Amino acid sequence: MYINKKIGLGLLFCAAVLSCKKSVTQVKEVYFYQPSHFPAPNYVPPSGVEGEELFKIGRELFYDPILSSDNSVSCGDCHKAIAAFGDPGHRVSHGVNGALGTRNSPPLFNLAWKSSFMKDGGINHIEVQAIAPIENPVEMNLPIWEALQKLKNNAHYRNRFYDLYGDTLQSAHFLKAIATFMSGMISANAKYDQVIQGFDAFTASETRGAELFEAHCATCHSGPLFTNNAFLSNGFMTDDAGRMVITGSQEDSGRFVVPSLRNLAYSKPYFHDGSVNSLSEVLDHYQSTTNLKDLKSNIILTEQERTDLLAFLNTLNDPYFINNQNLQP
Amino acid sequence: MAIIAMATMISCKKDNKETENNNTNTITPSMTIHVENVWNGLPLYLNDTVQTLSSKIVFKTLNYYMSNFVLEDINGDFHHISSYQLLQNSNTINDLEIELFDVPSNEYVGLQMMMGVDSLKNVSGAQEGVLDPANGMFWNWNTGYIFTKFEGYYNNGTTSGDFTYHLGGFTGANAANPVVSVPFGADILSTEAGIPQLHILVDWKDFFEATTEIDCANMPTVTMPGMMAHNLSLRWHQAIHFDHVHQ
Repeated sequence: MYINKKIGLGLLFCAAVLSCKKSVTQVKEVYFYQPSHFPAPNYVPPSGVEGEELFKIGRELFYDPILSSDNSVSCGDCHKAIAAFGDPGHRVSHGVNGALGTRNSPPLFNLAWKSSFMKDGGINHIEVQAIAPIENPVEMNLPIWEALQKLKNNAHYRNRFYDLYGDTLQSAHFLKAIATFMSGMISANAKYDQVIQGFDAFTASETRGAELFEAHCATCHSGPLFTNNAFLSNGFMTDDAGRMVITGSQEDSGRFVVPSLRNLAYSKPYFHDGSVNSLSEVLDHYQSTTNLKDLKSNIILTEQERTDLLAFLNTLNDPYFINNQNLQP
Repeated sequence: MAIIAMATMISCKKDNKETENNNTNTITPSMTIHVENVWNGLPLYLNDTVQTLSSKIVFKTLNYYMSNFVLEDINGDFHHISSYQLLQNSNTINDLEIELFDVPSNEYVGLQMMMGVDSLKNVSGAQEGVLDPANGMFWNWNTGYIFTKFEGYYNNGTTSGDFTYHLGGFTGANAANPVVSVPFGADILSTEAGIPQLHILVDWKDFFEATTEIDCANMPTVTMPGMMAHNLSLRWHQAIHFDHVHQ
């Protein structure tokens, strides 16, 4: 398995290097790759024939409501490609029986570079992340043991997994398939990425915006992932205890994982409860919040500076990602 | 390079299948551990009514992990046997067999095991067999195994209700996966001829009462990592008893 991974990675790296030298296009055959300007991933899905098959089964499962208790809700219902895999226009999502969640459905991308999952970081490995929404009564409401039985009783999935592993289906098999598909949600083709790799240049406004970003935002929203994966508070408080639920530490009250700032144009509304509807309101918050627990200071910008900063943030939007056919049903 | 890569991947897959076939035909256990759940020495089944100092107790669920077995030999050296076991008590089954393989040929005077799952397995993603997260012994919201799960009903004459104890947490001072020692007393367990049988008892009256009795009325639920789970897990040291060895 380790030999497979090393050679597979080498093979994929070659493919990635070749694709970077062309103009930006979709490399349809490669389901996971290492963008050359990204750090090493935390998780590398299986490669080769196994990886390709797991990716395809995982994609099917992602869009299949079989993973919900009444066959009405799939992952893709609250994670839509058009919204960078967030839930377009929804403050919180509704699951089985119209139940409402409490936290905004986050956009999904560059997941293989994350060290923890969920806003409170309660999940420590991508392969077991899917268990949480599948089992959550207000999301898909299906205990994972029952999900396993449903897939065992479904000839299509049973046979595909049998062809792959030649064994009785275990939850690790379908969880790895979902994790492999999730790993393939890579967003690294925004204008920012082109500029970083020397294929494009910022406008004057974007350049000024980049400097403002560096001065005011980059400590926590550090590139190229645009998050440092830390649990911090930007001063916006609700009764959601956030990270404290996991660590039990009072200091962590109201702290959430720093979200990536990629694909903001597609993934509104913002903040952990989805209550902030525009980037303009986001900047208003940073300008006026009195809760400076983890912020150095308020961020006070002139109109021109706002325009420039928003122009820079716009370079993090990746239309190739939201139009990637490989990630759609 | 691409051709070599493909060839290697294909040949690795074949090798795994062949190894599996060989293993299923030739492996026999080196020793067997019988773990019997009892209450005050008598067999304990789910739905039995039993008595603590203060309360009537009925267990509806009684499951726990054992792993990381370490045998101490007659010279004082320790031998680690990798094995993960999930013991689940039922209405009709209170004693469970654990087969240990690849135990070095030696004479042993004691056993240690972890009552739970080690921290490495708690951060390694989706696993199979007894470590499958679908066994009902895995938290979906705070990744990690539930090491010991016991649920049921208590009645202390004044108050009554359900108790729900899910003990987990694998990091730091509040880890709830203690390593328990079971010396064999005057007995020696030898793997030099035949398959020896080790019998140990888990006395749940000792677990419930320990130094102080679990206060179901004031703390009926522990379902997250932390100090309460840790403190409950320490009762394993008082609950496990060596019974006997026979060859």
